[in-house]
Amino acid sequence: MALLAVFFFIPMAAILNVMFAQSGDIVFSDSLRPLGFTVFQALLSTLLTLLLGLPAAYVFARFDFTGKRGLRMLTMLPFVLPTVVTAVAFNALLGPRGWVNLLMMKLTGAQAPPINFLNTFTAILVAHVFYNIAIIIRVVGNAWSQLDPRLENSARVLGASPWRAFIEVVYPLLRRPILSAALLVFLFDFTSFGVILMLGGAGFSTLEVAIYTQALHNLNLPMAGLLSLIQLACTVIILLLYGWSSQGNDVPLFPRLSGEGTRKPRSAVEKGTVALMVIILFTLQVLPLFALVSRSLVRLEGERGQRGKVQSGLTMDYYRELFVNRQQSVFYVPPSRAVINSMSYAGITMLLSVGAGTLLAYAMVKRPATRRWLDPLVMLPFGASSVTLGLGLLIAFSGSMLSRASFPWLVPLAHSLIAIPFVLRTVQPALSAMPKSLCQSAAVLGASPARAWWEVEMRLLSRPLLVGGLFAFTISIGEFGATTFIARPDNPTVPVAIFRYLAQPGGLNYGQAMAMATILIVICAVSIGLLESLSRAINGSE
Amino acid sequence: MDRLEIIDLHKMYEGAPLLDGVSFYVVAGETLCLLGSSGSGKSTILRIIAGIETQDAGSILWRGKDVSAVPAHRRGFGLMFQDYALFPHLNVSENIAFGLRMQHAAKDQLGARVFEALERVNMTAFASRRVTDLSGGEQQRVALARALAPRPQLLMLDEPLAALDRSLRVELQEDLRELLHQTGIPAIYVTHDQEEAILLGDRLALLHNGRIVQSGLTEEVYRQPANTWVARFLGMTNLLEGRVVSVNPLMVQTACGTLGPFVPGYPSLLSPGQVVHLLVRLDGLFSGEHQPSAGSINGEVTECRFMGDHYRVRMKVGECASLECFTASPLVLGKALELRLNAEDVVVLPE
Amino acid sequence: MKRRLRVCALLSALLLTAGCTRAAATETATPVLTVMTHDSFSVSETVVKTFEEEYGAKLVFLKSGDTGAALNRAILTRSHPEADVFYGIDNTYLSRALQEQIFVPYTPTALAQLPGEFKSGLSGMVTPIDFGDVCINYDKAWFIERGLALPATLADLAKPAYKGEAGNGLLVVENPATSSPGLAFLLVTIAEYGETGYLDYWRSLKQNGVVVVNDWETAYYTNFSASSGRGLQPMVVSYATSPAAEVIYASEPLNEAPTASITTANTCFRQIEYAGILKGTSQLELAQRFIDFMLSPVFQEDLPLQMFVFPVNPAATLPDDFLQYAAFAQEPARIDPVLISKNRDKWVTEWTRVMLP
Repeated sequence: MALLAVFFFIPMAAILNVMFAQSGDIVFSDSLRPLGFTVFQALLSTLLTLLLGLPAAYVFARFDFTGKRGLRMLTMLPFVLPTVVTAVAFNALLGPRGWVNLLMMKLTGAQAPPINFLNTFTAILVAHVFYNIAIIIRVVGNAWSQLDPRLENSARVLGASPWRAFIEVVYPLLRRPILSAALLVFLFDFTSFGVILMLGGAGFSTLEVAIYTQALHNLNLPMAGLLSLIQLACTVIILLLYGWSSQGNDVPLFPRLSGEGTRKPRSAVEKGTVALMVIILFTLQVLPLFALVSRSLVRLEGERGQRGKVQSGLTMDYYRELFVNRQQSVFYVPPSRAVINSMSYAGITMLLSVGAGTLLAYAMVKRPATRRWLDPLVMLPFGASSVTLGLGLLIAFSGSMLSRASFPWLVPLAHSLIAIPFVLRTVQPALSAMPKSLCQSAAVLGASPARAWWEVEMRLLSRPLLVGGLFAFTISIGEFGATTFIARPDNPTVPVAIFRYLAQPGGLNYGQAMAMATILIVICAVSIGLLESLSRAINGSE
Repeated sequence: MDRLEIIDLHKMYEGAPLLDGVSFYVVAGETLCLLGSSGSGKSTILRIIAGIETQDAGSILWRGKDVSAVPAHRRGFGLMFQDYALFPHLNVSENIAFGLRMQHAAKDQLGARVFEALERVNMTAFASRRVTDLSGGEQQRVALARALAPRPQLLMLDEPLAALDRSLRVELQEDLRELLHQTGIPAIYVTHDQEEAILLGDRLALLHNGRIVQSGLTEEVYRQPANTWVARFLGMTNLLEGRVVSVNPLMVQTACGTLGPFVPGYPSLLSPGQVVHLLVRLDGLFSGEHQPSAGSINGEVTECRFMGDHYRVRMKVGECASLECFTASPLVLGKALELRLNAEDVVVLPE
Repeated sequence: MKRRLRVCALLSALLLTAGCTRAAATETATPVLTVMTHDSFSVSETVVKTFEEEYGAKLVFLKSGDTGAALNRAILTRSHPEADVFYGIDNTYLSRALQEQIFVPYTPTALAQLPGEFKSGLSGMVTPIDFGDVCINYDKAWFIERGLALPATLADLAKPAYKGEAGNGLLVVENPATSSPGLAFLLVTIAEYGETGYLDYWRSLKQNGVVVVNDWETAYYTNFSASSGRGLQPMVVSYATSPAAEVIYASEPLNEAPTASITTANTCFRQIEYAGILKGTSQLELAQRFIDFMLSPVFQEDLPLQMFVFPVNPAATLPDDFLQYAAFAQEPARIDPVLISKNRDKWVTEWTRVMLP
């Protein structure tokens, strides 16, 4: 709580105060259009994400299939990617000279690329789903896998068709996690910035983009302040709506060890469903990543026509170049350093958010009354503009002892603000679902309170904790917006480094950006894999 | 005629055959108890019949027609799970009403039928309680009411009383028996407790190694178990191992001497040299001075234990085995006994 | 439960103070000069060492976002400035920066040697350091293949000869609201056609299929055909120094630049970058020395290959490959910085209304 107050409210108040004190015109009507569009695209994106994410969650929760673990890990990777890189990845796949268009042009003999993907509304939607489907899969999937399959079976035997069984039994019990995940996705999409800016292109403006433009380009701070307020107000309204709609007692689900309810798909329908989902997920999540990685390994220069041949072919040059400080710039950061920076920030963020999130979850469970106001409060930073927040942090701490950016904790703390809601959302339901009898029986069997807590509660919580921690980790690694305000140039994170390469022309620069991004992806994949193995080792099951 | 017939059911599980040709039948008005050890596939059979699992081979005939292709929600069979699987987000009445709603029962009738179901299990006072607040026995009854409310054509119960304590179990067993006879629908009752099976089952079917090794009226099964496994499973402990010396007359060589002649229950299964077990019924042990028609066994008392209204006596017979019997009055330890066997008291069991 | 909370609060307090004490401990006897810059700032280690050794000081750079963001930051923290020197205001923000009065006046002696165009509008507060021209870059091979002549004036761009095929125009520009080169190009059109005519020009560009994206990265690396992105547009609004970067940063050695810039009269916008000493600095002497240093040949000659800009000091010699491939306009378009500051919002808004649906 103190964390929130210090790092969120004070800066927000400060910045808003200052913003309105500056010179600049406020045109209220100008804010309506971005507002409308923001809500519209966020709603649509969330719906789409749910549409794809729920079946995916079902497949992951109920079935066992080869490559399950790998695919699940891969779906988390998009969080890691800064939008700049995602834009490039989608470009590599679906851009005018991306693989898909090249293929189609070859097949149909068309001259112009048939698929116009970038700078469209579709691009925004697809990118949002790309990023956020992992939330649904993990949060809802987790809850689903804890649902006793015999409940569905009972419903079926009592005469409910599979669809009816879902509506009558599964959905009411999953309503909470679904709403919770949907809220996260919605807020993410609501404050989405890079996607709109780079993939949607110039025709689209959301509140966040408008705030960015007004604050950092027009230097029209009062307008930016107004927009920030509107954004905050919207967030509050949404949170209130959410709170109202998710009322009612928590239905306790008996926590199961993961993997208990899964089986191999049997009937043709089941096999087909699983295969379909896998293909969809693969296409959506993995192909862009592949396209990206391919760009880092393939030498691509602009075509030169008659003068000089097009260079193509595999190369490790870009990776090698990463380690060379060609211009002896003082700002050169060896990739290892950037990676270490990113990882340390991410690790600290993970520990902080998991710790804080768990504490909050306990508070909310033991004292249900606090739930009402604590939950929305914690979610607020999520729905606030990162630009505004960044500036606010700046002002609030300028001049104080904490400002001298030799305070490296600021970065993970800021990341934690965003990550804590995730942890809360995964841990709290599991916690409230845990029957008290479990700990009591452990106590009776001779375990001290600490031991009982560790052996019983932690074991059952390890899965949600892991998921929350993973989210925190990946969010921290991929975070770009707020970090630019508070990071030091000699401690850059990988996304910042990638962005620097892309800010200059030249094949080497582009290639290095791709190579760095690939390193980022690989390191993340490995870390995620390790974390999952660790959790499996502790938990002793799937 | 309401008749369920299972023909040659096969199912693989994790690479090994779980059900390897299961066949049995149930008719209206009777309760079939399906007995078998844990993990033998009893629950799987029920699930296959209910339609939530599919068999690898074999057919399920209801009233003569194969229903394997009919989806679960249209078969009209009822299934009660071992751990009740009550819907936690609905209260008691809503749980019971669920099946009725799926049947599109008339709305005005809903309340009445739910009440009727609750009455049957004596739970009318619990109508609007949350299921999570109920004790084991109460949940048990609600689950039963829920399964019965839609008036299924066949009812299956998967070890419904396994999770309850003894006194509750005994009480509920009686209730269940009455209920099942009242409704008159064919019922398959799965259990691994043979006492329960005796009480509730009109017929028994025993599942072992993926097959039904014996099925028939309860009494018959007990009187003539098909083989040693069945005997052991049904709790019969007085088994003497031996080898067939000759088939006609049936003489068996045991460690206590050659005994016989016996009347084989399953003559076709026996051949000389075959290992068999003698199931010795000691009820008529001390009946008097009649001549043993099948030989006698000498032994001595090793234990005599008071069991409330009788004494349980254990005696060592020769080097080979220990037999158990019951008497009204205590015997002294070490007392020498002579067991006189009558052919009708002994069943020769193949392996 | 409460206890856990308290423990955590204690821990975090400890961590905070630990961080702070570490901060305090790094202050030593060596004076530290903090320079706030935008993100594109770069300088080589040897140059930094030269300054540090000559003055016995330590240089710390604070990268603060792009130009606008950095300026914003300086303005917002003016009561407790985070740095001593600010580098990176360009002429589109100059007037606003001067308005906010965040600088301390200083005029280095070396200023006198600079060409006249760099010395206007300074008000004695800021010092010009480098310049670069925002020009249209084009894909050489593309034009040769199609035998198309290069557009020589802005008006040419609206001609049917340069209309793209199938809805894909030949030119990609950046949104002036979100991009600095985008704004620069908009100013070029205003300089050429005046406030009354520029919108019509843009309408005709729109007819000709001009593509608008939000930022330079997308324009250059996604849309431009001569970059690694291999996009569809052979012309992009970028910097006149970009071709040099293409050569220097090519993955295989090139003896010719794949791109070049259109530098005819009134088609480019000159961006001049300035530096100034922030009010409230405690290192006034050192800051002044640093400003002098930035104008000295040592620093100025380092600029081209680090930031791909031209030095303002005529005495600085330029590296060969830079000279060969980088260009600047002889007659860039000019607009008074005061005018820019006053009307920028209005122009951008009007432009947005016309160009974006």
